[in-house]
Formats: sequence, structure tokens, C-alpha cells
Amino acid sequence: MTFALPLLIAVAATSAGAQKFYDDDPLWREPPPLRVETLRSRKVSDYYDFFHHTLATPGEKNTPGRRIPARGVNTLGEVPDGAWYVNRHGRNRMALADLLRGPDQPLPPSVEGEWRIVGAKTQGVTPGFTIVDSRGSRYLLKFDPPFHSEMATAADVIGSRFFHALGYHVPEYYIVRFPPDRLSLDPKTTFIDRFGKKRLMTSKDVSDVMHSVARDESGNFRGAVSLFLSGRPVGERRFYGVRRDDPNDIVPHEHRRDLRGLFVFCAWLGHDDSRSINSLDMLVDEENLRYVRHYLIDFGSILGSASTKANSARSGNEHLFSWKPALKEIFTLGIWAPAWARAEFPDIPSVGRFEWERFDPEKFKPEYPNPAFLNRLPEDNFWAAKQVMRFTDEEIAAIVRTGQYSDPRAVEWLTRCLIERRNKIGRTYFNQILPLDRFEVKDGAVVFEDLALTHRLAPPRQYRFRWYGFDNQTERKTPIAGAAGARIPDLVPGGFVAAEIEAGQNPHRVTVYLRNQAGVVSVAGVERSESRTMP
Amino acid sequence: MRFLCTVFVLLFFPALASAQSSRAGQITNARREKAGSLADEPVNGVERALSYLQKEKVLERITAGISGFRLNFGGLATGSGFALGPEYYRRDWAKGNVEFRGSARSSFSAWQLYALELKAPKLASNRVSLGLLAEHRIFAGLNYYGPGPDSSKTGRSNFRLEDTSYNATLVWRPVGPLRLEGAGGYLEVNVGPGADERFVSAERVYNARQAAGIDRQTDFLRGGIMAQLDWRDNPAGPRRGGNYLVKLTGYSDRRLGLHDFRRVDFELQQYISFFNKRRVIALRARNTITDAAGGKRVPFYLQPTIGGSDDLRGFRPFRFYDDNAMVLNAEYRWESFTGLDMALFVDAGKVTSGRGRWNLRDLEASAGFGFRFNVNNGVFLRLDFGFSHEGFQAWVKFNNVF
Repeated sequence: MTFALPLLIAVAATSAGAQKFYDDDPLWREPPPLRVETLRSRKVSDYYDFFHHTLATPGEKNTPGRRIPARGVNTLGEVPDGAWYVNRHGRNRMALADLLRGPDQPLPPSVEGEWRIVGAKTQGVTPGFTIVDSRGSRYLLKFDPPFHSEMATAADVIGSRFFHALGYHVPEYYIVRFPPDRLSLDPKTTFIDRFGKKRLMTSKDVSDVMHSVARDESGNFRGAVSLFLSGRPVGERRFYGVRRDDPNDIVPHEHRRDLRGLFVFCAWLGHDDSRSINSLDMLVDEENLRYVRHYLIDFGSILGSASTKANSARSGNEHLFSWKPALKEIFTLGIWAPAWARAEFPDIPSVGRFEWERFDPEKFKPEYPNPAFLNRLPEDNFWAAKQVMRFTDEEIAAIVRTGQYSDPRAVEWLTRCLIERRNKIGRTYFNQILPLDRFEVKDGAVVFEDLALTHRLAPPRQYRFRWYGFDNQTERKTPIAGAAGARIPDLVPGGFVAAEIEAGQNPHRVTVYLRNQAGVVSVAGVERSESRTMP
Repeated sequence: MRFLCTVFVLLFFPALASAQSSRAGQITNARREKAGSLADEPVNGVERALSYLQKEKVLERITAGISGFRLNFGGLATGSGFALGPEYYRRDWAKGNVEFRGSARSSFSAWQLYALELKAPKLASNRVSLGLLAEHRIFAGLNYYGPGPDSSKTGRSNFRLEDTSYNATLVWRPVGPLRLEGAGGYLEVNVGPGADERFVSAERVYNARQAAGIDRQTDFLRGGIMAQLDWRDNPAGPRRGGNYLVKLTGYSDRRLGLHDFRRVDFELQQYISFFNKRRVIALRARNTITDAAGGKRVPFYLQPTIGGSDDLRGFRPFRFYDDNAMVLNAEYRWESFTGLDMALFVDAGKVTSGRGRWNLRDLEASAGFGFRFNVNNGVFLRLDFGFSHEGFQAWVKFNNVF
């Protein structure tokens, strides 16, 4: 069963009269979720996830002959605020201080007293502990690998800031520096060791971990701590289907715009590890509501880091396995080398392997195929690209500095990479459609922002308007004779008009719908086409 | 009934109509509809099994064993066939500073290995390690083709090697990639008729003049030192760096006084990568020189050998024996996907009895290709196919070649 807005519109048409727009469109915030009484925790097997996605493509596929637009969007094509996503920097520019603070409350671990080790980090590849500070707050503490000091911890903190600003729910991350004696072992701490045996953790177990991680010249450790999320963890999200035990999860994940568009964000930040196990669903209790909130977690494998080592040049450019490139390399005896293999990376240990010259957002690949990423359409890419383009050079530089790199080359290189990769994203995806956005009604005319001009990706251009009367019930459009330019034709209360807009030689078109609600004319919806079909 | 329906409609129609006439209402209705048919998340059998394996660390438990007991595989000489046996392994003695290993392995053709090992691997802030090892080996049918580079493929015989050794090793890692080692021990050797009935037993076709030590048993006191400079980026699957090793070992024949000799091993490995380490040229030169002064001779079972999965891959295992041996290997490796590297290789080498033939002339050569399966950049399975003028050899090995 598909619970998506297009379907809902169809339902409305049969039960309450057909109509394209409702009074509350465009909806910027989802209605309050239904209360979830019980929900079983589930654990996605990352082995199964790998094989399942590598050998098959689960979920409903978007094919050239069967185009399935993104769902879970409002009539402007934006994702409403809710359990999956919250509009932040993309909708209203965040203050720099807010960007830098990210999701943090802030509540870094207290430096008063010891940090009690109460568990071992069991997920992922990075060594770490669960600690409790003197206030009783619980954190996950992770470290850098010995030859790449600052790499993974900085990636975690920077990633959390970017993904938070981009609208996702993420944990709070802090960089901490501490002397070895700050850590103490709770005598009751048990863990499952690498031989699968559950036992009490010993001080040697702790020292074994601490010997394997980086420390600074003064002997202090640097780590990234993330505050435990409030609520009860109920497992990871899949990138297809819906969660059957969650009543609020009604849009198949492979059709969620916030998950399709996540591809662009991951390409920008080099997050090839963007798979299910790096997400977490939490059952939260807030304002008398109990519902599932969906988080992205663990950003230690972005920006050239692979958490325990530098990323491979292959990462982000090829899946772990796919037939075509594998056979190509086998049968050409490796004489054929893909472009990414020739990429050049500066020797900056705290960055790993990250670059921009060979970067092509459309060629980015996560570790294995992702159904939501594969279903992307130009509108999904545009939705994400315009948010990436929203970050100024200064904002990017400032967020990179939250990684607290001691090597200025790291800040300089990462900032440059992110700026250049951002620009490539804009050039790539603003060409797939007509990038007009932020439609408003002002002084009787429809006004908008041409993002290609804003970001200097296109020269100033002329816009052509074709106006129609629009019947909200039948969705029929009737040309309005004599209407031209941006000025809105006469519109009676309760009536609708539509304007098809083209620009210069751009082969695409945008249709904006306007309505008169109690004497106020406003934008009801926007549609972006991939091709121009005006008569 | 009709009355009740009328009351229901009058009571709830406004709410329903409101829900249907707004976008938010549409969403809420869809959620309510789903709430009426909630179900547990489906998990198929494969995923359940994989999750169980992962969560319960089943593979790790099998590897770790129960209360220190576990199964051990392989580890015998090439030609033994599949071998397995129990091992008792403890790594938690002396607060984890001492490891103990006791193992017994046998192949289906009755080749056997028994070992006891005590090791303190992390002394002096992990810079020093000390190890004691006692081993008893029974290799029932090792190949022997006769001495020298001109030995014939058709001269294949086999012999039984049964030895017991007691060794102590002290390793010091003074700085970075430098490793220094001192070792000493006692070796008791017995050779006898080979058990592989497909081939003649060695003592029936080779005499003591051709194969020193084939007729009389002896024991050796041995000691040696080794220096190693290892700056490979990843010893389990190197793509850049080098590994240079020199080892000097002295053997003193304690019973017969006929087989005292010195042995020097050199090995140079160099890894040159390009295309961001996705292509690697791997080079290795390995030489072994023995010196038995005063008319004494190196026993054939302690002579260097070449041929097999680790050096001349187009030849059978232990194809050539003599007092000195050299092997040159060159491999071009390329990554075809994460988890599989492929390789084209050329091997060359020879054995000699004297220094006069210590040159690059008359080398035996083989070439071939291979598949290297790896996890976390470490090779765990190697399939190599070697070709030479003596035929074709296929190797399945659970280690990296170099």
C-alpha cells in the first residue's frame, strides 16, 4: 500500500471532490504523528544489507518508462518538517553561530571528575567506549587511528553540523581532549570481546584500546563524543519500503525526497558509508506524543576518512562490488584505469583522501546501491542541490574549523574541496531543470529567484510567461488571452491561475500555481518539468 | 441500526469532512488507516541467520574456541593435504601478558605437527617479545628430486622427515620499522622412508654422497640473529614500501660432527604502487647461501629448496634442492573490485652447489596469474596458476605470497 500525497489527492477526489490544492497547501509541517504504543527494536544486518542491495534492487524502482515522482513533499516540492526532516538552512538562512553549534544543546561531557566507562562501542569499526560523566550524562566516545590523528573525530563533528543544517536529525557531537586518567572503568562493565565472549571489561582491555589510538604530543587523547540520543532505539531505517510497525511511516523510503536528495549531500561530503547501519530510529516521548524519529548517525567516514584509515581512492567512486567495472578491470588486466584512480590527493594525514578535481556528483557511488538514491529524479537533485548551494564560502570554512584541526592545511584543503564540490553540484543539477525558486507574490506580480543567476552559473536571461486559468477540481488549464509577463491576471477569490515560465535557452519549464484566498493572492504550488512542451 | 448509523454520521461527518479537505487531514487519515493493520517487521531466514552470526559473533567464537579449545587448520608443509586438529590457546595469562598455545594437527595422509608455545609478546612497552617453542613434526612424504639444478622431474622420490625442535626467540623493536631478533635452539632430526607409495622412497635412489644425511640421523644446536627493516604499509597485503631482511644462522652437528654449517638468508621486497595504490608492482629477491667448511656438508633436508606455491609457482613443491638458492619474483597486481586483486607474475630462480654458479644465468622460470581475495586489505585466500616447461600448477593458499 502506498501512502503518499499523490495517492491522497486521488482519495480526496473520490471522497470529497477532486482538487489539486487544499486550503492548507503548501504544508510546511506534517500533522502531529499518531501515538506509537509499542514498537519492537530491529537490527539490520549489514552483511545482509550488502548482499541484498548488491545482488538485487529492493523497493519500487523508478525506470525511464515508469517515472515515480518523490513523495512526502508539499505542493512546492519541499519536504515538510517532521520526524524525518526539519527545514533549516535551506529555507531560512541560519545564523553562523547556529550553524556552528549544530544540534548541540550544548552539553559536552563535564570535565569535573572522571568519565566512567560503562560499555564498549559495539557498532562500526572505530574503537571506543560508552562513558558516563559526573553529571550522569551518557556519551559514546570514539578515537582517531594512530596515523591519522584528528581525521575521524573531525569528520564526525563537521558532518553533524552539515547534516543538521541540511535538515536531518543528528546526534550532538563534541571534540574532547583529555588526559589518560580522566577515564575510569566501572567494575561492573561487561562487553563482548572480539572472540565473542561476554565478560567483565578489564583495565587491560581499556589500555589495549588506548594504545591503538592517536594521542597528542603532551600525551592527551583526543576523541569525539556523541551524546546518547533520548528515547529508545528501535533499529535502523531501510532505504526502501516502510516500517510496518510504525503507523506514521506511510511513504516508501525509496520515494522520500529527503532520502533521494540525501544522495547529493553524501556526494558533496564524501559520505560513501551512507547505509542503513549509519542511521537510527528512536522512539521518543515528546509533548504527550510517542513517535519514531529518524536520525542519521556516525559521520566518521566522510571527508576522506574511513574511520580507521584514510579512505580508498575507490570509495565514493565505485560500489564495493558491481559487475561491469569489475569485469572491465579483470579483462583489461588493469590496463584500463578509471578516472578516479588518477586523482591526486595531498598528503594531509588528518584529512585522508578527499579531492574535488575528479569529483563528478553524478558519478558518486555509496558502498552499495541504495534504492532511494537510484530513484532520484531531477527535481530531487534540485531540491538537494539548492541547499548545498546555500552554504557560502565563509560558512563552509567556519564549519570545517569546528573539526579543530591542528594542521592549517587540513582546514584549507577541506574548505577548498567543499567549495569546489558545491559548485560542481550546482552546475550539474541546476542544468537538469529550470532552477527557479522562492516564488512569491509581490505588488501584483509573481517574483522568484533564478538560482543559476544567484550563483553565477548562467548569464542574465529573459523569462517568458504563459498564463492560464486553472480549475482546481478538474485540473484543466485555460489560456488567458492578453496576459503576459510576471503580472498576475485578475484573480477572483477562491480562483486559481497558473503561469508556465521559461527562460532563455534553458530547455526546461516551471509552472507556478497562484490562488486567491480571501482576497490574498499567494503561491499554491510549483511544478518543475524536465522538458519544455509548451505549445 | 439505522438510527445508530445516522447518529454516527451526524457525530463524525464534520470531522471526516475536515480531514478529507485538508492536506494534513489526508496524511492523518492515511496514518490512521495504517495504524489499523500494523505488523511486525518481516525478517527472512537469510537475514535472521546473518544477524545471528554477527550478533552472537559465531565466527569469532569458533575461532576463539571454548575455554581455550578450538580447531586449527592447515599449517603443515605443502603436500600434506588438508590438515586440522585441536588447539588450546590462552591469551589471558599473567593479566594478558603471556600467551600459551598447545596444538596437535594431522592431515588425512598422516602428516602431523605438535607444538607447545609460551610467549610474552608485549614486554618493555611492546618493544620486546620473548617466545619459547617446542615442536614435533612428522612429514610423511616430502618430495625429493635429487640435488642440484639439473635434477630431473622424473627423479621424484619422497622421504619422511621427523624432527623435534626446542627454540627460544627474543625480539627487539628498537625504533620504527626496525626489528632485531636473536634465536637459539636444539633440533633433533630423523629421516626415513617416504610414505607416499606413488613414488619411490628417496633412500632407495639417492645415496649419502648425493643427499648428505640420508643415511644417518643427528641433532643440531642452532643459533642465529636477524635484522629486518619493514616499512610496508600493510604487511598482510602490502601496496607500498619495502621489507628487507638478513638472517644468519649457525648449525652445529652435535652427534656426528659431519654437518656443521652456516646459513645466510637475504630477502628484499619492494612494492611500487600507482593509480592511488590500485596497481602495484611487487618485487622480491630471496637468496639463501650455506657454507659448510672443512669438508662438512649441509644435510639435504636442511638445504634451501625452491619450487612451489611461494616461489617458483610453475614447478612442483620442493622441486630443487641444493646448498644455495635464489629466487626472483615480479608481480603486477591490480584491484578488480574491493575484495579481489588479480596478479600476473613471473618467477625465476635456481639452486647451486657452489659460489661459481652464483649468477643470473640458467634460471628456471615460470609465469602465471592469480586471484587474491582480501578482507580489510589483508589477503585471506590466494589462487595462483603457474606455468613452466615442466607443466602447470594450481595453488590454493590461505596466505599472501609476499
